[in-house]
Amino acid sequence: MSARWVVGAIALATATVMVAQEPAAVPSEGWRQVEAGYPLRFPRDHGSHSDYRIEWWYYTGNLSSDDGRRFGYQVTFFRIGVDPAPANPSRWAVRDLFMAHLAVTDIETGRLLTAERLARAGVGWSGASVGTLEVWNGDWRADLDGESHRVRAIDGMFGVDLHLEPGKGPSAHGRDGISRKGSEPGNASYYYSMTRMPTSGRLVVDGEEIEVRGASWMDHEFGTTFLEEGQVGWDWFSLQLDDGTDIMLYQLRRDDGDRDPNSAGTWVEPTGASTGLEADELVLVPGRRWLSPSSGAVYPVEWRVELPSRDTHLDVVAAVDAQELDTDASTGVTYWEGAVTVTGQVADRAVTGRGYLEMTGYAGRPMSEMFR
Amino acid sequence: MTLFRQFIVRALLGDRSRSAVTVVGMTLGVAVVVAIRLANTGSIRGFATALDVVAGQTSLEIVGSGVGVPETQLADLAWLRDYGRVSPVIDRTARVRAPDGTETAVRVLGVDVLRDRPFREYRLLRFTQEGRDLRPQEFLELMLDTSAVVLTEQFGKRHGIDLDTPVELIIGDRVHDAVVRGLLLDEGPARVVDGQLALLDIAAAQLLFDRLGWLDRVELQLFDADAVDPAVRSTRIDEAERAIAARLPEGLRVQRPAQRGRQVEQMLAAFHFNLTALSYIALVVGLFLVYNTVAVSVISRRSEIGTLRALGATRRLVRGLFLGEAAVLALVGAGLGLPVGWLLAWAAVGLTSTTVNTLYIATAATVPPLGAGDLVLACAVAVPLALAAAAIPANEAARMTPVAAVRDADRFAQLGRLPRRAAWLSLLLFGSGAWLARQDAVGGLPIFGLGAALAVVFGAAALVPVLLDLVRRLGRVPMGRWLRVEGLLAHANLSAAVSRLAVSVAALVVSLAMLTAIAIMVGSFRETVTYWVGQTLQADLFVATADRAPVGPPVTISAEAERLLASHPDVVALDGFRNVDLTYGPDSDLIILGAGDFEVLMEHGGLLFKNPADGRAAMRRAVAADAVVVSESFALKHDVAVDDQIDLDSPQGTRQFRVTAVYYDYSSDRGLVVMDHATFARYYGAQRPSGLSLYLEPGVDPEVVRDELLDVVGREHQLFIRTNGALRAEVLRIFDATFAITYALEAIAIVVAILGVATTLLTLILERRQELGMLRLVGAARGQIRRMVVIEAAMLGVLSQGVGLVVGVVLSLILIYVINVQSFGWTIQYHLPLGFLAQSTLLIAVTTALAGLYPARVATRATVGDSR
Amino acid sequence: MSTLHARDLRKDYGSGDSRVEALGGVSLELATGEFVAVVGPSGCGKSTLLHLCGGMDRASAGTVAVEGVALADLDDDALTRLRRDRVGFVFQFFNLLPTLTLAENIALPLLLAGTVPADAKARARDVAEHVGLGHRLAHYPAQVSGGELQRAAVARAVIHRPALLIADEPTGNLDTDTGQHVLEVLRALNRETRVAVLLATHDPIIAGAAGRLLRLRDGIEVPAGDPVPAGLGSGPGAPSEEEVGAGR
Repeated sequence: MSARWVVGAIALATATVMVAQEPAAVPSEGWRQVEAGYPLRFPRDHGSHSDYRIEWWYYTGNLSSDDGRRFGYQVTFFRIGVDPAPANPSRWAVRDLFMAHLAVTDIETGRLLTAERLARAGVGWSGASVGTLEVWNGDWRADLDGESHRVRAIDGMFGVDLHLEPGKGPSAHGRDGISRKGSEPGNASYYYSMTRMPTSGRLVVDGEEIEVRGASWMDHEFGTTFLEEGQVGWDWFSLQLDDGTDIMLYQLRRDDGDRDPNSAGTWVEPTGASTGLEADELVLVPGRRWLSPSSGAVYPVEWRVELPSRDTHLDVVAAVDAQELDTDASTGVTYWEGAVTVTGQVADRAVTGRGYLEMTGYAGRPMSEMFR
Repeated sequence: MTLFRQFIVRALLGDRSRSAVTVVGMTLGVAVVVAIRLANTGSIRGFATALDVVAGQTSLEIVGSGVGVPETQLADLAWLRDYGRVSPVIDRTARVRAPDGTETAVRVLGVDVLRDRPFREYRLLRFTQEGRDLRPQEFLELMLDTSAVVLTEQFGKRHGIDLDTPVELIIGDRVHDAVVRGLLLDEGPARVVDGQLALLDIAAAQLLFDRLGWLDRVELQLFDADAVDPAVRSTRIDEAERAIAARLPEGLRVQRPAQRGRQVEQMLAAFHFNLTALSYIALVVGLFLVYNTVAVSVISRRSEIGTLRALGATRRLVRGLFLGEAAVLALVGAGLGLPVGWLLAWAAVGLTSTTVNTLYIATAATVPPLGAGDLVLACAVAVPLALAAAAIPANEAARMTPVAAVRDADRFAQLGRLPRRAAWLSLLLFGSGAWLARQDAVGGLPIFGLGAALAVVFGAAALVPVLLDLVRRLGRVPMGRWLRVEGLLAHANLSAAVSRLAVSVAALVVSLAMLTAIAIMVGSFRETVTYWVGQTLQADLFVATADRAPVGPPVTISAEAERLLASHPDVVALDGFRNVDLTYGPDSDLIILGAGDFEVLMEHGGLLFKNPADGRAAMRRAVAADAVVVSESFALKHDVAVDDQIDLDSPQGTRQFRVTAVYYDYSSDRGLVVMDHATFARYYGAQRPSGLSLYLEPGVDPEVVRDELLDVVGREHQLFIRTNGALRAEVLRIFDATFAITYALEAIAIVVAILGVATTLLTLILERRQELGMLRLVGAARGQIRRMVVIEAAMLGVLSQGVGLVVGVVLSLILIYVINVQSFGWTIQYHLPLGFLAQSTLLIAVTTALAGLYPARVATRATVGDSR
Repeated sequence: MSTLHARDLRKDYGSGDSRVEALGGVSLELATGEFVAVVGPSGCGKSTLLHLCGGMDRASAGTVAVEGVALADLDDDALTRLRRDRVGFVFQFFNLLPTLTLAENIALPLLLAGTVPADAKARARDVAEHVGLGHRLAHYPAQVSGGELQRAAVARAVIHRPALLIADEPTGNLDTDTGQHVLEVLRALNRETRVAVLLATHDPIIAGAAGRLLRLRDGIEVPAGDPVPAGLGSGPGAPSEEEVGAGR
């Protein structure tokens, strides 16, 4: 789950605009629905699943240089299906749209650098291969080097060029990798993460190359229809604790202020063994808020995470408050996505950690409208 | 200065009629020059503006050889992204049929809005519910459907088009139903040619324009091309251009967008150059008038000059006074000529637009506004030339001694050695004309050829005093006999004023010689074209699309339409003509590469060969070989002969082709290279034809078949099907439209010249009041006086026309065999349009006689009281 | 019927304050074959009188009749015809067309009247012989002397056998001998053709040749007994003020 919803929401929203004009077009038509019985296998399922309408590859991580400078980064590749079988044989006919977001947080200076891309496949200047990890948008790309992932996205004066080792390997979320988002049977996605990928490589900041090390988190999710009416936004956490535990949590927020029952999480042991967390196992309490000067949105930048079933109490604090992204030129959604630091206790043991937090539905149109 | 005001300005104001005519002559001369210059830049500017607006922020563009950029090659050009943003473009023309029933040609840009937006400023006149601009993705999704088209606000307003209005998009022959999904705000490319722009998604554009797999060009916006300093920007672009050129595969070129404008300019250069040259005739005639006016004022004011000199005026001062007179006339003429020229430019644009649009580029030419530069130019042309023209009489005035001037020497005793000197000068000019005519063109422009024409023209002008002298000597008896006493008197009067008349008659001779020459050239050309059309238009029916695209991607005929046409039982054979623009040679001249079915051409005829005589055999040799036939203008311009090898760019790189024949062609001066369609397909890929020739069963009525064919193709295809006769008529219509401006310019020059003759006569009459009075006294009736003056005028007209005819024939030889060949490269069969020449002679005699009416009226006002 | 009958001729130039009276009521009658000289100083109205009598100008008041035809009744065309057929003119400046031969100049009135050119030429030759120019017929004005020019002018003036010959200072531009010669010619013609001659001069010798004198001063006739008007003695060839004025 996660950020990537943003895209789904947009795809759906614009499709809705089109529906208004041409009632015949149903966005899900011609695309496959998520159904049980598809076992995820690798490296095959790192690749694209072009039968499904929406898909993303999502890398976040906390990195530091040898001299101790700390950075957060985010590289996301989206594939949004538009027309599964365009009648126009032109290479430029749009089957899928490819989007990408790039963000680097310079934690010391509190600066957030962002870039985004939106393209069609055309003559193959953007795309995603089937059967193996290979997704690219212009010269931004993620692919496999043996079992390691290479992620390269440089936009002029800043960007990342990283080598990500598999670490614990993939962990499937939900039931057999199917993550439910709504009450309708089809409203779900295939979803797995590689929660702790030892990372090395370089960052480019202001044109300067910086050697960095750290840990990344990779999400890959695909499906056709996700959200349902009344779901306004969500808060999503990926946390890497120093005891080797990784935690993924998300909650969907409803327009009446309640939490949607389709909220969940995953607990990943240091060994890589994972267990699902149901909605009633997680309590997410927003704390200090930050007012975005550009969008006017107010984001909780400190959270209290309670996982009673795990005897876990964590304080999640944004490494930098100002980590809001405005993606007008691609997805068009304004959201908060950024590096966080974690302190707290797991079964009375003190832990610290790093992670990423994503919050949507705080700015612009209510997400619920975009679903209709 | 005071003296100038008293002596010159007052005199100019006093002698209003002559001053006025001189100013009118100068005004028209300057006006014509300005008009042609404006019209020329207007036709280029229409194109260049469109080019600029459409190019937007594009720094460089990648273009292919004639047929465009193959996408397969583009996939390998990912490295272009290291230099900047890349946007593939389909750039075509189509017609939009609006609900109001109008059909308008529009420029169609097929783009990927996701890539293209940084290149061109465009925003939709459409907002989301929240009132913000559409995001790129929303913009894109509006256009994804192949029926979606985005037009401009301006166009929409004009044709009552709103969002979701259904329109018809006519591309080539096919009529597509489309829906207006967006209207562009009136900015950026939406301003091109009155908002006649349509935006399509690139995928839709490829499909609709039959360009699957091809792009018309790929535009590149350099990352670091936004330097504020234009010099830095230019250097960066140059560097990038060189680097990219070195990396591009064969068959692709990188250039600046302005390059296309330069190519078009180059292509139009000869046409514009000749128009400009022609426009200067009117100016030259105007200068004759200035000369004349100053000369008259010098002669008629001899005693005043003498008085001035006697009172201590230096030669310098006297010369300055008369040069000042010329400068005043020129300045006033230039000042008035500018606005008049601006107005004339509209007429000129109207007259040349058919030619430019048919033969060169489709552009909505406009007249650029007048700037300070135009005033400077007009003055810079008019004043020095006027001073040069006035230098001779001004010097004559300066040389006058006080005594000679005061003595009021015999007005008629000035002939002296003039005829003899003029004869030598004339001989010299004719000689140099003959030499100049043998020199080669300079940079594709007939500089020496025009020099030769100019030498002949001035030679003819110099001949005028000689001829007037001959008339003086030999004309008395016949004139007295044929025209009785009035003729005798007219002859006597003219004889008395040979030196005075020489200049204005020379001006008229020059104009008439040019008219004759142009008439002969155009007449010959028309005959030649008529013959050529008869020989080469052999098919029974010709099929074309409604749009013409003289330059740029051709507008093609769809496969369905071709199939439907071929299915008609009376259609025996069908030949498609394909053509693309290609750059050729070191100067990257735009030539036309054409392809036809040589088998069909050989069987049904269709080309008129210059060399070798057996063209069919030559064509046969060109089938299934890397061989071509080339047009005469191509052969001449690029110095290519039969059996030479020429290098042509193709998508596969530069390839050599052997020239097997040279054929006559008058359809374009750009030069044509034609290959068999199979050869074309091998190198340039499959392409739809832009025209079809249909050959019918013998005996069937082409008109009937045409109507049946139009029914067969139906409403979905919009085609022009012309019968052989109709196409021939169309060719000649275009031909005549092309030369309309030529005649218009010439007519203006003749009007100016006739005005000059009329004023000269008027001056003479004013000086001869005493004689006229005496004539009245000894019994001449008013009618007789009037007849006498009219005969004088007509005689000058006939004499001028006589000389003009002879010199015109010589000039026409230069025009046809030198200037035309150097500018356009056409063989024109010499043909004298006798009817036209006879008509014009009659017309000139009548017109000059009419022009004599006013002086005649003035003459009859002379009373016996004037006789003393 | 007299050849010329003029009664109480007046001529004013200008109007209002600037009005100038050139002729203040002069009467005159010439019978057939009569020779009258008008004498007086420059500006006395000689030329004005001649102009009115010759139909070159119209009087402000008074009447002129040539051979009984009142000039005031004629329109411009009729007046032109009358001059062409019945009147001849000779002036101080010879007024020949420089580009016509003497023969052509002499024949001009006939040619203008529509006479067949051959006849006109023949008649011109006769007249030219008569005035002693037979050998100069093919010459241009520029090629002959002043006396010859004036004889040609006289020939032109009488070629159409006019009833009245108007001569305005015919010798004014000639030296004495030549002037005398021209006068002889005039007198001979007067005698032989019975043409009435009205001659203006300020040369007393020339005036002496006339059968009758008409003295003018300040536009009115001076009785015969009055002293000879001043200026009569001014030398031949000296241009009078009036003549200079006419050149303006």
